[in-house]
Amino acid sequence: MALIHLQNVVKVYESQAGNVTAVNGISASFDEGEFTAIVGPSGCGKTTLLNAIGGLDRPNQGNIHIDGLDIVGLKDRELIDFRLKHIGFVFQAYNLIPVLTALENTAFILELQGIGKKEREARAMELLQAVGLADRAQNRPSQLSGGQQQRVAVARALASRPRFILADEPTANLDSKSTETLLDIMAELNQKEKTTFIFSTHDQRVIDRARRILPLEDGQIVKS
Amino acid sequence: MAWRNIWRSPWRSGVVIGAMALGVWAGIFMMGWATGLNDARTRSMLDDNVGHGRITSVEFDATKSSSALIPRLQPILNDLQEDPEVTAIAPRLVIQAMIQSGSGAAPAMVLGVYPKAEKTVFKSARTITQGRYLDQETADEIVLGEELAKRLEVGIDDRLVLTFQDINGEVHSGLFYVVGLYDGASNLLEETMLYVPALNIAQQMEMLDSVPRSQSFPVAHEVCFRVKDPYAMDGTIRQLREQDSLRLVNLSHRENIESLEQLNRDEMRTIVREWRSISPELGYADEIMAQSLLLFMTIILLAMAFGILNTMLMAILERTRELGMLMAVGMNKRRIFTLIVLETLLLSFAGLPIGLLLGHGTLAVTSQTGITLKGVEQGLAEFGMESTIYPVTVPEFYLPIAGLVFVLAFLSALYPARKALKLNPIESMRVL
Repeated sequence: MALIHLQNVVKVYESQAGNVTAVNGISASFDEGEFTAIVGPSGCGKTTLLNAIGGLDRPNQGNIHIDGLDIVGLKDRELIDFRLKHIGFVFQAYNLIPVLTALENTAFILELQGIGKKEREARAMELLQAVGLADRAQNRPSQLSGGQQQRVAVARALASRPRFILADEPTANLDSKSTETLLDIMAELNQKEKTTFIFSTHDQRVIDRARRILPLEDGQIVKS
Repeated sequence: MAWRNIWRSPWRSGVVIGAMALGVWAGIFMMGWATGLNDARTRSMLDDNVGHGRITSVEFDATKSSSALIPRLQPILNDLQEDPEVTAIAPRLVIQAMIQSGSGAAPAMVLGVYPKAEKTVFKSARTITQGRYLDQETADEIVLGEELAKRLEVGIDDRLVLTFQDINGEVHSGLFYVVGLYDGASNLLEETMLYVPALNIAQQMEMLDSVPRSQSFPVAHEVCFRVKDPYAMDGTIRQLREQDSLRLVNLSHRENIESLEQLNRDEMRTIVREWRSISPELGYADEIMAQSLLLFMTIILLAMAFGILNTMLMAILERTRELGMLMAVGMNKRRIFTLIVLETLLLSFAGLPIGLLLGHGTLAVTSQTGITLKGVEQGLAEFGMESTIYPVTVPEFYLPIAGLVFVLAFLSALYPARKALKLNPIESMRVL
C-alpha cells in the first residue's frame, strides 16, 4: 500500500478577484522511500499540494490518506499532533528558531514530543554529524550561513524519524555549492534512513537528482 | 526558550523591566511613606490619650460606672510591672462630671491620675503650654485643655468647681485651682478631658475608705500601659488575659470561693484591651490605609500591565512567521499559550525583585534618617506630629504585590496569547 494516497484533491482559494483553483482534482500516490520532486512554474499549485499533504491546509474536496488514515477528517488538534509525530518539514526560508543553538533547533521537535534531554541531544548530534555541522552545534542560526541553516533545518526535520519529509523549495535561497551539499546529504539520508522526501521545486539541480518527477500545471498533474 | 525570547530585543525588554522596577520601587516607597505617616499619627494618638493597652473591670468596660473599680488592683499592677514587654503603667480614675467657672459650665470627663505614672504613659502630661502639670498626689489642682479654658474663660490659678456623684450615688462638689493648660491632639479632647490628682478625687468620692493608704496606687478604674511595640502586642495581651484567669483561680483557692457564678461576676473579672479595641477608629484607619495603598499599587501596576501588553503584542507581530512555523511543525495551542504567558510573566517578574529591593533599601535608609517636611510643620503639629516623618519598611505588602504582578501579568498575556493562537500557520509563514 502507498504511504501517501491522494484522491481527487481540489483546493479553491477565495479572493476579491474571484475564486482561484490552486489544486484541481489531483490523484496521486507516494511510496515509502521515494525521493520525489513536484515541479512546475510559479503558481502551478506545488506549495498548495504540499500544504494539503502536510495537513496544513484542508482541501475543499477529495481525500488524503497517509498510512491508510484519512487526514482530511482529522480535527485541528489531531492534525497538529499528526504533523508532530509523522511529518518533517523543510522550509524555503529555513525558519530556525533564532534564540536556540543548532543542536537545540535540531532537537526541538523531539522536545515537543516529550523525549528526554539526553536522548534528544544524542539524536540531534548524530544528525548534525550527518549534515556535517557537528562542530557548529553550539552556534545560533545568525552565526551560520544560509546553506548551513538549511542543513540544520533538514536535520531538525529528520530528528524524530518522520514517515516522510516535505520540503518546499529547499534550495531556493542557496548558492550552487550549498545546493549540491544539501542534495548530497538528503540523498544519502534517503538511502540510509529510508526517509521519504517530497520536494516542491523548479530548481533544475534538484529535478536532476530526483528519482521521480511529478510535473504540475494549473493545479493538475501533467501527463508525460 | 521563553527567557531567551525576552532577550531578543534587549533594549525593549530592558525598558519594560526598568519601568516595572521603577513602578514597584515608587509604589513600595509610597506605601512605606504613607504607613510611616499613619503610624506617626496613630502613635501620636496613642501617646496623647489612648495608650497601648488598658485593663478595666468588665463592669466598668460596659457601664462606665464610677463604682466599678478594678478588683484586686495590686496583683494586676505587679503582673504588668513584671512583664518584660510592658514599659510603663498609669492607673487612672475616669469620672463623668460637670465643670463650672464664673462664666459657664460644661460636661467633662475627669481623669484622676497619679501624676508621675501618668507622665510615663501619656504625652498630654508633657504638652503643657501654660503653667505646669500636676505634681502633687492629693492637691486641689486641675489641668485642662486650652479649648475648655477658653470656653470657661479661665486661666492659671483660677478656680473651678467639679460636680460629680460619689460611689454611693451622692452628689458632691469640689473646688480646684487651675495649675496648667495642655495642648491636645484634637480640640474635642481639649474641650472634654481634664486632669486632677487621683488620690484627691478618690478621697472626695469616698473610694479610699476600704483601701490601705500605704499603696502607691490604691484605686483605679483603668490601668493604661505602654509596650515596646504597639504593633506587636498580641502576645502581651494574651498573656495578661491568661494571668487574669489565673488570678481568679488563685483567688478561689485562697478565699474558698467555690461558686463559679460568684467568680464570674463582672465586678470580679477584668478585661484587657489593646489600642485597636480601645479606639477602633485608629485600627480602621490602619486597615483603610492598607487597602488604599494596595489600590494605589494596583493602579501603578495596571499602567505597567498595559506597557507589557504592548511589548508582547509587538513581539508577537515580529515573530508571526516563527509562530507559524512552530504551529506547522506540531507545537500545539497549549504550548504556544504557555510560551507567551511564560514570556510575559518572566518579563514582569524580572523587574519585580529589583523594584522590591530598591524600595526596601530606600525605606530601610529613610526609616533611620527620616524625611523632614519643610513648610508644613504647623499643620503636622496640629495633629501632634513631628515634621520629620520616618517611613517604615512594609514587608507585609511584598507578597500581595508579587501576587498582583502575577495576576496583572497573566491578564496582560491573554490578549497577545489569543492573537498568537489565532494565527494561521500557512498565512503566517507564506512559505509552505
